[in-house]
Amino acid sequence: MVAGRRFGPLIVVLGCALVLLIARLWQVQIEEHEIWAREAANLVRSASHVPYLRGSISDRQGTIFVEDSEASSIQFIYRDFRREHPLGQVAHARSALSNHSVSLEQAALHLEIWAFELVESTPVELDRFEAGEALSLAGFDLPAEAAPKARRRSRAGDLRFYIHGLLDLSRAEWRALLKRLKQAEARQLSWLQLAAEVQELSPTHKRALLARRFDTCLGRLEQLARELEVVGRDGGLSSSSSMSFRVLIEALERKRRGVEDAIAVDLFRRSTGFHPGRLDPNLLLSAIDLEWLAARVGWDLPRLDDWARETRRVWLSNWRSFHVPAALIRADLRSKAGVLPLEALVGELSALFARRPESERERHALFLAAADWRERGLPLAFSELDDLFEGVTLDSAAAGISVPSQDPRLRAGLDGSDAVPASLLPMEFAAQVAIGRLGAANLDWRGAEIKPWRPPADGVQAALRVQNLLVWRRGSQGSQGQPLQRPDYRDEEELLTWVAELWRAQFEARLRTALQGSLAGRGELDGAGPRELAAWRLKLARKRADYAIRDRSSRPEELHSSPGEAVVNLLIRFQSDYAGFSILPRTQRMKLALDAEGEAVARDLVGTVRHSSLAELIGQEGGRSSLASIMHQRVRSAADRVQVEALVAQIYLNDELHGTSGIEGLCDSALRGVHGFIEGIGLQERAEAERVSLYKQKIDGLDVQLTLDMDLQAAAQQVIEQPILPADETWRDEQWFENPVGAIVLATVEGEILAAASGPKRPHAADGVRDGERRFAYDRCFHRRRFQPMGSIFKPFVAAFALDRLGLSEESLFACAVRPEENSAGWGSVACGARWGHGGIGLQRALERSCNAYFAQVGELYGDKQTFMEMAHMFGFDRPTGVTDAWDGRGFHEDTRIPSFTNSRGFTARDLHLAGNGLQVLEATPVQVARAVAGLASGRLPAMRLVRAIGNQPVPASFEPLNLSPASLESVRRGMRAVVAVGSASGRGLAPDELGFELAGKTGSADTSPMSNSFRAQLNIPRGGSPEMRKHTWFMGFFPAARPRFVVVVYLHDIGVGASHSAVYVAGQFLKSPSVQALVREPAR
Amino acid sequence: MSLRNLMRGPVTHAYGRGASRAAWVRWHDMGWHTLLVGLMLVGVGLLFLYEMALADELQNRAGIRFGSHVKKLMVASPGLVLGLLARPSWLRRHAWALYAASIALLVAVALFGDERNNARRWIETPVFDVQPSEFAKLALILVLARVLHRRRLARASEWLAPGLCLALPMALVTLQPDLGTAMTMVPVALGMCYLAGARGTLLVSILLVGAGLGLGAWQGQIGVKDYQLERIDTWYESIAAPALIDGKQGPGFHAYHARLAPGNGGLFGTGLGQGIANETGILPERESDSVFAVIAEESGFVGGVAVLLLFGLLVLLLMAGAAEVRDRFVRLVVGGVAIYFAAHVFVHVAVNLGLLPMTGLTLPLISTGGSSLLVSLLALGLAVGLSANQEPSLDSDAFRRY
Repeated sequence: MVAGRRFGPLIVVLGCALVLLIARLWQVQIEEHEIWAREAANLVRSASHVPYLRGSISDRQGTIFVEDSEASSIQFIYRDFRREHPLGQVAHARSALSNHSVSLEQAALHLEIWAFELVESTPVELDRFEAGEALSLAGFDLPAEAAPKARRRSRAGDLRFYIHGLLDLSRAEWRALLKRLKQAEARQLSWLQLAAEVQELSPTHKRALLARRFDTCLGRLEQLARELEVVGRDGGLSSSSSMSFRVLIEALERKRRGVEDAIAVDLFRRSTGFHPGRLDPNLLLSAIDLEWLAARVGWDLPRLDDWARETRRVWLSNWRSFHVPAALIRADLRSKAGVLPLEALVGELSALFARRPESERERHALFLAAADWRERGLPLAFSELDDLFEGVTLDSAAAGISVPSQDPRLRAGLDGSDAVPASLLPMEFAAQVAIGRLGAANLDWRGAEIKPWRPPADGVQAALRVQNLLVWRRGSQGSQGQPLQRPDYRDEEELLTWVAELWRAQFEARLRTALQGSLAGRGELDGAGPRELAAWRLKLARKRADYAIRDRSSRPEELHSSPGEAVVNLLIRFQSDYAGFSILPRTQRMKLALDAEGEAVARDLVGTVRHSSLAELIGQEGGRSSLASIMHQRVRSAADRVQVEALVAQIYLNDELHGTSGIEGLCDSALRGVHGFIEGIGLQERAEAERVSLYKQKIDGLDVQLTLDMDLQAAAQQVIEQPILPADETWRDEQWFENPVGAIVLATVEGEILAAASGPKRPHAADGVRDGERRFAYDRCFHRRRFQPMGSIFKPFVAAFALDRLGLSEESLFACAVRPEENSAGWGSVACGARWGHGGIGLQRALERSCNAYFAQVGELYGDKQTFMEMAHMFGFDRPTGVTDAWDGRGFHEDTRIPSFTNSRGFTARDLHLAGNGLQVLEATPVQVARAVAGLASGRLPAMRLVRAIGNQPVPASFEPLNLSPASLESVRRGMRAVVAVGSASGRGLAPDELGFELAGKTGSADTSPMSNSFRAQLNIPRGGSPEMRKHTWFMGFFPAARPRFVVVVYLHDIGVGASHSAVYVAGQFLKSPSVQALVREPAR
Repeated sequence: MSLRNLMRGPVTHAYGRGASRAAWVRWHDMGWHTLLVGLMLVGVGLLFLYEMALADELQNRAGIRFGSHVKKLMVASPGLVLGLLARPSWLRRHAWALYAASIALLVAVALFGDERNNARRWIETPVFDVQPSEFAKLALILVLARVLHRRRLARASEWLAPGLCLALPMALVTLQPDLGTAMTMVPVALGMCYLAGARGTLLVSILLVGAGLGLGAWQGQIGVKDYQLERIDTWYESIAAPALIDGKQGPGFHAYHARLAPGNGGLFGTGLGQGIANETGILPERESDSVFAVIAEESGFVGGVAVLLLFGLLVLLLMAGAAEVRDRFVRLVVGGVAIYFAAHVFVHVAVNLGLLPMTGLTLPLISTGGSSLLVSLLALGLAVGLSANQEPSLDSDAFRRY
């Protein structure tokens, strides 16, 4: 029956169609299942890092110096602003009307007028506009257009969209309005009247409501601007507008222009295959017809011109700050991985001119493939020339070699060897050739003093200079050679950057030749104007346009990185008035301990952090690529999961913080945690636990508790910033006290640093006659920027060692008398402070009076440099203080080197005299002095500590035995007590009844340089008067004297008059502070 | 007024005096098995629409509402009954009027239709939006059956009337613009011509010439709008999976997701409501133009083939029914309905699997959409009813075997 004549064949045909469908279904569902299942999995798989919180840094009491805190940033999504905010709607509607870009500033100025012009137009007017007829609104006249084509239609569509938005109608109301429009007479009514009708309001009432809405929207923006405290240039939008409002609108306009620029770049790249920034803007505009682009983005020709120039500027900036450095880093990494350096460099440089991957997938593929540069075809742009323009074939070969990597001689020269043919050297890429060898030399010469770098004028000169660099570097490697001459280059990176610039210049010159030459050959260069791109290229851009516009304008841009709480509340509370603005939560490293001036307490000690560097991120590209490829697998093995966890732990996030200095740098490994990783296989909105396929818990960084005490630190900081010179002091260097430079250290005898303050904390302008140190705000407790001998505070250490090891006895008397040849008291080349000398003097009195002649003679007891250095080593003056022990020391540096001149020769008698008095031959930091005096006070040399505990684990104290007899130490301690009681520090506020405890100490000052006459004039010192030298002055001590628990060191930098007294005053000021008083009252542990 | 009385009026008017008793209805000859297959497909639609609506509700999306689908089905169900009760002679007599009415609707939609996405295809009604092009397809079947009833297409002049009958609705639908729907009229018309006696070689030649012209129009970009060209280009460039994946963010978005869903389903599917299409809601028109992609994803290759076989069975049963009919007009109508179902299913599935360029076409009996459901149920009812309700016919075909 069915096999009838007619139905039979038809059924067979339909059966065949059914078989075809089933076969295709088999192909898609069975054969391609893996592909589609992976795509599907990735569609709903949301993988993200869960950033750890960096550990906090607190003081010994637990008060936080710095921690990761929750913060917010303001994000701006231009698409939402354009579609939903009246300002964006009006600006874009006006742009659609006038067919050129209307700025947000202009729209803000005329918001209400323009908005009402739009909503008071009629649907029929829009229809006529769409049909190409003239349009006349209240303040706007648009002439008729002969051939409106699709452009008017799309503009009319945009206008309807924005009018809809401006009318503030619900979806249902808008549908009702459209329904109403089907009645012919309704099309004669204005949009406003129609809206009022569907909302059952009077037109007047609706108008008033809209007026209030437009006013509110501007008012809210003004309020936001005020809250953000955006300070702008003079002038405002109107007399009632604040300056900050104008700045905010300008910022929004910049974002808008950025979005439009990015869309245009995207479409240009899609159609031509290369970035528009590759071409000089004049060449770009004169060679390529970009009217299609302007029409698509809604620009007029001046705006197109702006775009070409801005795009070039941005591209060049990115080229220099990102692309070239990234290429150089990659080349370096590849050469470290075994690729010949020159091979790696040429490969990476040529990659800068190769086609850019279009997608992340392609990028990974390119990275993993590590394509050989020799196999690369024509560089980008050149590979497009044959069919770039409609009906014109440009000859890329006529332009010659566009980048050096195309040169067959270079290809042959580098083939399998790093040896470069000598014949290549005089060529313009000689520099590049030579650079290849630089990578292999593996030398660090960055520490050398450098001169400003000037690029070579031409290739030959470049070759000579690079060869010079090579010679210098070979010489510094220790091989035989001529005397070294330092090259002029700032550093290797700059030279390589210059090489990349050479490549770019050559590429652009050849591209210009190719574009202009070919057009000229056709006789079309003069007056012919730009040429149209090939139709298929325009089609590519057309297909891309909607996506590009949506994609680029939907990307959130940060408008403000740290808005205050008021701003956050404002944006959340009035969300509907701030379409396009949103709040993004984030974490921020916050310094919580601030002094009265808002400065972070112990800023230099706590240190700084930075984000991941380009080199770090590029160095991890391999890991990122591996992670991405594993994450794209639909099914993963247990080994894959282990690898994911390992990779997540290794890979830095772009905004991850790395400690660079201070404790942040020193304890970076402890403060860092391990990122978590979460991957959901379902939609995020569901957030059901069972839908999470991979979850790796984050591990927050450990908290670091310092030995510092916030109050003591603040007190020390306050004293070193604002030292007080007693009114009754006759020796006055008031200029120094107004501009103090120095440091105060307070520590326990066990080595815990309780306070380490440096002044100034903020850089100041150069301070005239001083040595300019006030220009630098940095830590002076662990560092010494200038010559920094200890002077007389060194004497107790000299004495203790001599008593124990060199046969000095407390009773030994040394002469301190006037030297006939010098007409002053002293010994050898060292003068003593006493005009007529101290006569025969023993240890106790020598310490009390700080007799230089005595200690010059003790210096003689040492006899040689070796013994002297043995003593310096015993008290730790030749090595770090211990704060970096157990750490890798990254980010925390101490100046602890013995000056190099002491190492280069033996000691003369003069050196011994000076060394005995702490002059010239030895320098120290305040913390080194604190450790040494702690050793004197306790009999054991502690390792100084800044870190009290990591997490819950206390950092144990450690000591080195001094190996000095208690008697020797006690003898020196007695002397130091006498210094405060009756000696050089007496009578200046350090007495027990003034401090509340007994202090033992030693004053000291060290000559640094002669006083100039101008300096003396500044200090009101008559010519020939005393003092004649500029000095650093010190005070060191321990307390309570009978049973020492704490040590204090004061260092005052470059002081003139009253040197030895000033440090005593500063010490007294500090020790009398309530914080120190409270400390002393603390029971001993 | 009782339901019986309510029904009597219109039925009497439609089918003539005595229609209230529906005396011509031969219930025992009714193709219940065909009807059952059709209703099973409606059931499949209900099941998947329910799951889609549930997914949207779970995800808090303003999307598909099951109640709306049920409402449309309730409105469309009388169409099935009307089709079952239809009297062949009445239909034959009024075929031109029905055709004229459908043309009038197409003209009306061009003048007063609701414009959405730059197309005028719908007329709003309180229950659902009417899509006149759907009704035009059924009217075309009736009028072609009426025209071909006395023509065997042996002479060239006999092609004029059916050609014009096809051209008019096609032109109006193309103007909407809805080239996809217009093109589905072609296989229906050609199939009916074949059933009416046209030579197969001639029809194949027409098809080949049409394909050639289409290819020329595509390559020469003549008479094809930009968006249509773009769709064809996108389809051509993305027949293979990797190309489609690379272009998923552009115009290939719909095609990508329509292929991803069945591809993800594999052999046995992801389970009801567990597919990526439902979970993300990202597949455009998944309740109508891409409903097969959802079915294939959630029920797998097995389920997809089962649905295709059900449709195949439906078409086969309709063809078998038509082959047994002596009345040439009825045979052509039933055969036309079978081809209508076959053509719709083929285009819908082929589009979702990337065998044809993307176009919006519902899956009969399954997809939601008031017009689609109403017309497909009416067509099913007509085919089943007419097969059973044969009236005495002594035309020249009465004793021919087909």
